[in-house]
Amino acid sequence: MMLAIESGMSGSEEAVSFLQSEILAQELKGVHFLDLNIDEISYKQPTQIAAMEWLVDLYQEIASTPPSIDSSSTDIIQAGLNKYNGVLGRPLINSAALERVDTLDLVREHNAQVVVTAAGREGMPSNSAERVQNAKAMIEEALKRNIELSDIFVDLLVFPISVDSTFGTDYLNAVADLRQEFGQEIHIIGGLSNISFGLPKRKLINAVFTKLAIQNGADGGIIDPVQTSIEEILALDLNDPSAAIAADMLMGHDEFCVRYLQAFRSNKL
Amino acid sequence: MPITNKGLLEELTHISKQDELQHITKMLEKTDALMQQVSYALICGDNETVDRLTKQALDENYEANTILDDGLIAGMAIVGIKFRDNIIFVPEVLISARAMKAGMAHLEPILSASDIPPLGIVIMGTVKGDLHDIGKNLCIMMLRGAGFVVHDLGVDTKPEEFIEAIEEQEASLIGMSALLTTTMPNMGRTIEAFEEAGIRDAVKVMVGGAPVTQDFADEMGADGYGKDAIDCVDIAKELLNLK
Repeated sequence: MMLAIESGMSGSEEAVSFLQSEILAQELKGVHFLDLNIDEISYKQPTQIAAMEWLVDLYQEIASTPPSIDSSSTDIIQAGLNKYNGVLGRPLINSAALERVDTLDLVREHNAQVVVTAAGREGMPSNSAERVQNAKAMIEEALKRNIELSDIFVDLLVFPISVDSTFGTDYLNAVADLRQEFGQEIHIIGGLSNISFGLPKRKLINAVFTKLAIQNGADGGIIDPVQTSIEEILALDLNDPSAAIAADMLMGHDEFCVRYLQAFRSNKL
Repeated sequence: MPITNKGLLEELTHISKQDELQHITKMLEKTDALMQQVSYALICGDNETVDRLTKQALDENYEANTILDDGLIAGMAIVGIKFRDNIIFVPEVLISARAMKAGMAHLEPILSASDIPPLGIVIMGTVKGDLHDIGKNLCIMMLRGAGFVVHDLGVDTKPEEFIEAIEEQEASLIGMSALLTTTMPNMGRTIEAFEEAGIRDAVKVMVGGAPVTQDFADEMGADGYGKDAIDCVDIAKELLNLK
C-alpha cells in the first residue's frame, strides 16, 4: 500500500489505479469511513504531509465515503483536513488522546467527528477502570470544546488475549460501563481484530469478540471490511462448540489459552 | 553423547530446516541427561520442573554457564523455531519464558558475580509515543536466552532516555521497536538524536516491529532490521561481529 502511494506520487498510473480499486472494494462493504494513514511512508514530516495531501486528493476524486484522517501527528491531520473539500460528508479525525488533547481543537473548525482513545498520559491503561477514566477525561475535554456526544467515537483499546487472559474483559467491561454512563448517543469502538494477535484461527476469535463487544454496547469497530462479514457475526451462535471455546477464553476463563490451543490442535475449532 | 531424552527427540521432529536441525542436534549432543531434562521442561513451559532441576544442577556443582547454555538456551532455541514456524503460539512462548525466568532466578546472581564477560550489552525499548511491548519483550527474551545482557527501557522511550542508557550502560547495541505506523517514524528521529548527541558511531542500531520494513530501516539509517524475535538474535550477533 505504501509502495503504491510512493509510486503513485511519482507518477505511476498502475499504482494509482491499484489504490483506486482498493478504495472502491472497501466501500462496497458498506463502511462509514475509510481510514487514510500515511505516517509510515517516511520519518520526515514534510514527506508525510505531502503524501497525506496527495492521498486526500486522490481519495476525494473517486470515493463516496467520508475519509478518516489518521495520524499520530496533529500537523499531518491538519494537512489532510485542509486538503479535504468536504463533498463526501463530515470527515473523521483519528485520533485524539490525553497526550495530544490539542487535536480536539481541529474538530469543530473542520466540521469533523473524532476518535478519542483511552490511552493515558503516561501509558496504556492496565484495566477496565483506567480505560473508562481516560475515556471520560477525553470526553470532558471534547464537551468543553462544544463537540456533540454523537460526534465522538471512543476507542477503548483492545489488547491481545494471547498475552493476558484479562485483556478480553478489560475491554468488554469498559464498553459496558461507558455505555451505561453516557447513554446511546456516544459511539464506542475498538480495533477489534487486535484481540486475536498471536493465535491461530483469528477469524473465529474476531467474530466471537465482535459479537461480545456488540452485546456489551459497542456500536462500531475499526475493522478490515473486506475480511469481515458483519452478517456472519450477527448470525453467529455463541453456544456453537467452537464459538463457546473462543468465548470462554475471551471472558478470561482460559489462562495462557491452553484449552483453546488444545481444541485447535485436535481440530475442534 | 547421544540425545537420550525422548521428549527432546520428539521435539526435534518439529524442526524442518536441515541446517537448523543439524545445529541444534549438535548442540544437544554435547549435553547430558540432566541438561536435556531442563531443556525439555523449558520447551513444555513447566516452570516448576525448571526451577527444581536448576537448583539440583547447582547442588551437583554444574557451572551456572553450563546450565544456561546446555539447558535453558538449548530449549529456548527450539521454542523460537517452533514459534516462527507457527507450531506454537504467543501464549506458549510466554509459558516457556516464565520457565526460563524460573531457571534464571537461580543463575543470574552467580553469573553477574562471575567475571565472564557477556556476549554483548544491549539496550531495548519501544519508541516514543508507542506503548506496545509484546514483540519487544519476545526479542528481549530471545536475546537474554542467547547470552546477551539486556537493559529494557520499556515503552514510550524518548530519544534522550536511549542516549542516557547507552552512556550509562556502555552498551554497544540498541534495539528499537514500534508497532504503529504512526510511531514508526520516531525510530528515525531517535537515530537523528544520536547523531546530534555525537554518539551515533558508538552504537549499532537495530529496528523491528510489525509495520517496519527493510526499506524503511535503510531510509532511517538503521544498521539492522529483523522481522521477528529469532532474526533479532541473528542480527545482534552479526552487528557485534559475533558470527
